[in-house]
Amino acid sequence: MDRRHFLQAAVMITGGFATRAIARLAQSGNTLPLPQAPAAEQSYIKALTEAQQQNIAAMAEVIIPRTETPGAVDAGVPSFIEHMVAQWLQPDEREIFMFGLARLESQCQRQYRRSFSQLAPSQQLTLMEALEEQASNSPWYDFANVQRQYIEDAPFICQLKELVIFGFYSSEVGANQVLRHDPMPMGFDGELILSAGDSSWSTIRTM
Amino acid sequence: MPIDTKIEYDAIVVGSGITGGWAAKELCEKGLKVLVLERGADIKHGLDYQSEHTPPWEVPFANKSDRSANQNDYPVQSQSYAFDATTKAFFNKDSDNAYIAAPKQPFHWIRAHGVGGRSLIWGRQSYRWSRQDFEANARDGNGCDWPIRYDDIKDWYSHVEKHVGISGAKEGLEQLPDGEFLPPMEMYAIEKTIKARLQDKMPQLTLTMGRTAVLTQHHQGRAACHYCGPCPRGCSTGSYFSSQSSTLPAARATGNFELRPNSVVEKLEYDPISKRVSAVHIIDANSQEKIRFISKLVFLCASTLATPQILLNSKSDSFPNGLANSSGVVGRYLMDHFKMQQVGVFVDDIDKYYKGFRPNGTYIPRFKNLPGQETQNYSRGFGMQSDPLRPDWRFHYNQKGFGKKLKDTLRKPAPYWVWVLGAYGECLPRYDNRVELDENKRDRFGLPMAKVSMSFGDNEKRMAKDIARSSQKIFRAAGAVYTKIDNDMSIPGSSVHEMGTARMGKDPNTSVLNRWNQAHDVPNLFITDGSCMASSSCVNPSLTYMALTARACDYAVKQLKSGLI
Repeated sequence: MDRRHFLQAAVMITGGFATRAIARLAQSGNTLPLPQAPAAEQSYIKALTEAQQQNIAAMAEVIIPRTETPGAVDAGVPSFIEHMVAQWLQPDEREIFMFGLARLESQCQRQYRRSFSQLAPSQQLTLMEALEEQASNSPWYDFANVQRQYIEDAPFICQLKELVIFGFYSSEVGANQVLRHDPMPMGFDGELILSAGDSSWSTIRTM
Repeated sequence: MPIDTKIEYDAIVVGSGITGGWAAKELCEKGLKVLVLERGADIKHGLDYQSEHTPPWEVPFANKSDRSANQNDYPVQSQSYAFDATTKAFFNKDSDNAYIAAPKQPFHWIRAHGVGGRSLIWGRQSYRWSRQDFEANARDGNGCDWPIRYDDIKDWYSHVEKHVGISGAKEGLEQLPDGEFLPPMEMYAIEKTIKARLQDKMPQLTLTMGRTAVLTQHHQGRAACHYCGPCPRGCSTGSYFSSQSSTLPAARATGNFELRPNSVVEKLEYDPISKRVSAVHIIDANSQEKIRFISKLVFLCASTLATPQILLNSKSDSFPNGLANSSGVVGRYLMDHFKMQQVGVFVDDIDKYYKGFRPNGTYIPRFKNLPGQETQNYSRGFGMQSDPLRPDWRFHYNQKGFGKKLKDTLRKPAPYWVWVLGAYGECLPRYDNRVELDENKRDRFGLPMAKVSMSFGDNEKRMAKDIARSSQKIFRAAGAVYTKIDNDMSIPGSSVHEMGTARMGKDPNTSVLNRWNQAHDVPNLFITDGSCMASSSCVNPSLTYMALTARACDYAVKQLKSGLI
């Protein structure tokens, strides 16, 4: 939520003196008294070559493409993946990821004499579908196998999908333009009509 | 030698969580000069809720668990449902404050570390105990008889409820007495459907809106809930009860209140001549300085495991086995509700969704082993808390496919509801379940570590079987199309309802506290956290701790003013 929306919401919640004081503080350019966690983007580090970055971007876009709404690249997913690979994957998992990335690239070179990122969309899709076919016995695909942290030996394609999907639907673009984001609902309605085209709310853990 | 402070306080309260906050409020409002000692760092209301409204895209790693960091520093706390990147600042860092679980007896000590204690991260469910609960030990002979009955505490429930603000619905049930409620929260359509079916097919059950310490209207200067969702990040509008939002400000307003964070209580000093606790010894967590505070009254509100740890570490010639422990039961009769979680899938009301993240579920009060009913093959009973969930992308991201279709499927709610039914079963007090000190293992302050030995007994295991059977029946009556019944019982401690380690009782030879939460052995020592409980009921215990605290404060002040303490 940006500052303007926060202030609108804060006015609705509390009204009165405290909020006006917060508003004045914000207008004066000072930081809000409610600090926020550092944005993930600010801590992104580079761990991939430019060619690898381009391939990751192309793969992310195959998984979640731009349609009538923004896609993975629009949402900044490639740099999220780089960050996760560098900072979040365990060493063994990172090895699987980097090996999978390299192997796919060498397959592209062998088959098409081009990088993955330079292939036609249909060629890219065919390659990724083949990877998924090879990985189809992985427990990663087991129904409802999601209440866990991470499958340590998940194949490259599964790692990639998991990171792309988490990155995309947690992103500001994904939350606001593909899902629905409602940080200050101000009430509860348990019977809201759900039409066929309606999206889920963006991820806010409810407790 | 510890540094001696010159001030004599009227009361020292150890701990600033749910009961410590209440003790501070009540004692200060009755005119006592009160010092609250908190071992954790200061957490200021609002200002220190650093990630309160942080949107998903600003949470590190898209809120996927930071596994190696958690394994190193938070191996126990990270098991809590309320623990994640946005809340971990409120939790105890396990690597700094370790404890020991007995071999083959895993125990999760979910522990806060800061002002407010677990009141910032608690589940907020608030239920009164019933007449039957206070009579249970006397009736079936487990544990020692409670020295009080429901009538002794019912006005104190009202007293605390009026300040806390509990939203809920009156149901007129003997086994779950009604309280002073704010309007209940609304139900989801699927909950209304399930409720109607249960009324028809299992009329012996009641499905009621969860009774929760979350405000549905403005109350005592605190705003109604704005339904943003993740309560354990802290709530700057004070819409749920915490020490920060509710009791500490009330205490502070009297001018009688002093709070000292980073104060690790080492021991209580006993004066054999006056037969009183004469001082509280602390170690400053930052400077490592040892300081001695003196006070007329001491309230231990440090938690069910930390309170006996302090008592057992307070040895003297008068109390060689630990302060107030002439009975030898300090640390014993440790209980925690066992929890079981079942899942039912429903395809009703899939054209209904919701707006707002309701921080509350529904509740099915105990319906077995009630007076006049057939007796089960176990004693006591269980209650069930349930939550509906409309699965989103987080629950089905692991599917095959690519592109527009995948994106669109993941964008939408799944075409079914999941209804999670969680049962809390009453745990009997057993002598062997205990916390003790391991003198050979010392923490970073040089204090002996707590060693916990706990397992569930045969009664709990028999009850667990009935919970699994009953869950299946409830799902069937409610119209589930698919169910997953899990027979696993929770790891002791993980329900975070631990209690019983300094129990109340009539007999000083078998209990630690009298009917006023006053130590049998030491008249100016009161213990009002979960330690005081002589049995566990099956409802969430915090509201009862609050009522007992307020009641004990009233008594202690009267005793003090009439010169008896």
